[in-house]
Amino acid sequence: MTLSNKKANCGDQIDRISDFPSNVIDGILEHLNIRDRARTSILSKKWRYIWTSFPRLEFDKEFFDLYDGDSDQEDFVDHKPNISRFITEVLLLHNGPIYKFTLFMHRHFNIKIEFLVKWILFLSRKGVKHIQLVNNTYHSYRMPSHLFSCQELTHVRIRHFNMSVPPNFRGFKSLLHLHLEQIKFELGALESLISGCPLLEELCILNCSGYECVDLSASPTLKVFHIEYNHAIKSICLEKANSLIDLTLIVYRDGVSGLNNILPKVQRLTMGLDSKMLYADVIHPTPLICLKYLKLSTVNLEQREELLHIVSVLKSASNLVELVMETCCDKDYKTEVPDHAEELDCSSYCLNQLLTVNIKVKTNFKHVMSLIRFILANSSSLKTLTLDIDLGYKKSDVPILFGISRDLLWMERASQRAHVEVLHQRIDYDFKDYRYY
Amino acid sequence: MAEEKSQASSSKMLTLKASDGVLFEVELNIAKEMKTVQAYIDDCEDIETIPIPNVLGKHLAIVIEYIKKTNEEYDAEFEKQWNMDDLQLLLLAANYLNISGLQECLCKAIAKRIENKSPEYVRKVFNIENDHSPEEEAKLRKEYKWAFEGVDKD
Repeated sequence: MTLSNKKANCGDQIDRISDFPSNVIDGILEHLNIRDRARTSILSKKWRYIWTSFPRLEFDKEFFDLYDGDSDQEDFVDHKPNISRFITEVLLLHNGPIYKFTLFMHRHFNIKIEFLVKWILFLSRKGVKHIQLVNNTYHSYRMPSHLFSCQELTHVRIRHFNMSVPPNFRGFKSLLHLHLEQIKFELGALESLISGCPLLEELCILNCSGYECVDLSASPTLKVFHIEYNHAIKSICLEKANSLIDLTLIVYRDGVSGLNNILPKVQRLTMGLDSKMLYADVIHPTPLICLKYLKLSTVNLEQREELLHIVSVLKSASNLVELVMETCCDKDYKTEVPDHAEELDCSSYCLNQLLTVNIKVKTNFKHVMSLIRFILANSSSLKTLTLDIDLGYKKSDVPILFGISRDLLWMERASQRAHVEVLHQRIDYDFKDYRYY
Repeated sequence: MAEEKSQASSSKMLTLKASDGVLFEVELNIAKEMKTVQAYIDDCEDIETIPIPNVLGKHLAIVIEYIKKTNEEYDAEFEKQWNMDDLQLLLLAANYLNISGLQECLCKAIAKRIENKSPEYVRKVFNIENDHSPEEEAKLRKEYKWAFEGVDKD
């Protein structure tokens, strides 16, 4: 550390920071937004270009929000038409590699595709590793093909673009995380993309279209796979995904294969089913000793077979820590609702690690109460159980809820410290939480 | 992290000597959090006293305390206690000793104090002398005019 009296401003205060090693200054700049960093250029002659070699550029929502002001406000200068020019200037000033680039395309700002194309071309020459492009406008943009020339990419997150893969695409050899949201693929594009990423560890395909098949055998290193879709799928092949530990599948339908091959190793599972399907047909009996987090939606507990199957799944998940369940009712299915609740084995000594349970119910809750009795009687470590009831718009809610709460209070609990909560939501303009203890 | 420290396999003690001669006796696993010290130990196994020539006793004490106690809550309260001078010296110490957790905490703390502030304010905080002429400064402000609006009043 140099102690230079010539730099003293007042008394014996010294300017240390201007002599800090560049990695330390970068550490501080990392926690400032791009505007704060730009303003450091004015601090002194020494500081003029320090910010230009900081290897991250983030034009996120907060950045655009600042310029999304009201023309009625005092001192308001409308920078909206010039925003693209500012971003271009910042890029041109930049010195050295750019490792991370974030762009949030704000709804109220018109960013022309020509600018985006040039920016991505520029980034492809700067060794960019992390790219985040979120298009929040009402129309989708075509993803500039220069993206595929960014050979050093490790993390990609893109939302709301049309995408096709150029024929000379040689793959992203270093890509670890690929997050695709609302992407419209041209035929074969998604398949080319996935097979070009041999080291992929995390893959998210959320509400995308233009693809029919997803084959994970090209991704032996994949640990996390999240897929949410609503359109017709030919196949989702999970069979060879031997490293998978985190799976979100919304929804499971005909065409999905290999689920039971990989389940024994999965630690986090979120699933929903196509209509009329049962977990009894989908999840085969198998020890789920790695499972720590389980979220099942579209659980049809009105069917006894399904209830028993869910119980056996829970029994086999001996290390489960958190359980979330959303039940549904099958309006078409003519089921005899039994007068009494199903008696379940409450002394199985299972669910010892379970800490948190959250169950969301609509209308028929008799079997849910059996399930809760089972859970409370077995889980010796339980901290919280929340029952979220949506009975629809009915005036007779209160006595029903009172009955439920009374029944819950009477249930035997393996965990002394278990906290049981009932939440009730009405489809009303008044959104009230009624809590009964 | 706290649990790991209480399960120290060896309770071997090490002495660290600050730049002003103050000595600190620390457990081996605490000292190892400072990667610079770890490298020293790797090089000469039998060493008992390690010199830390760049760090004052006062700051080394704070650093050691941080390593012992660190968790999220502690971090949040930690940074509020120190003035800018100490924060800077602690950051330099953490950088020299190569303790990434402490470095991150201190960088965040310093950044928080100058977030959305005017250049005049930041200069005062860091004692930076403004060696721009008024014309040069005006030119720069114009060049980055998008960065200068909406800044907190001093």
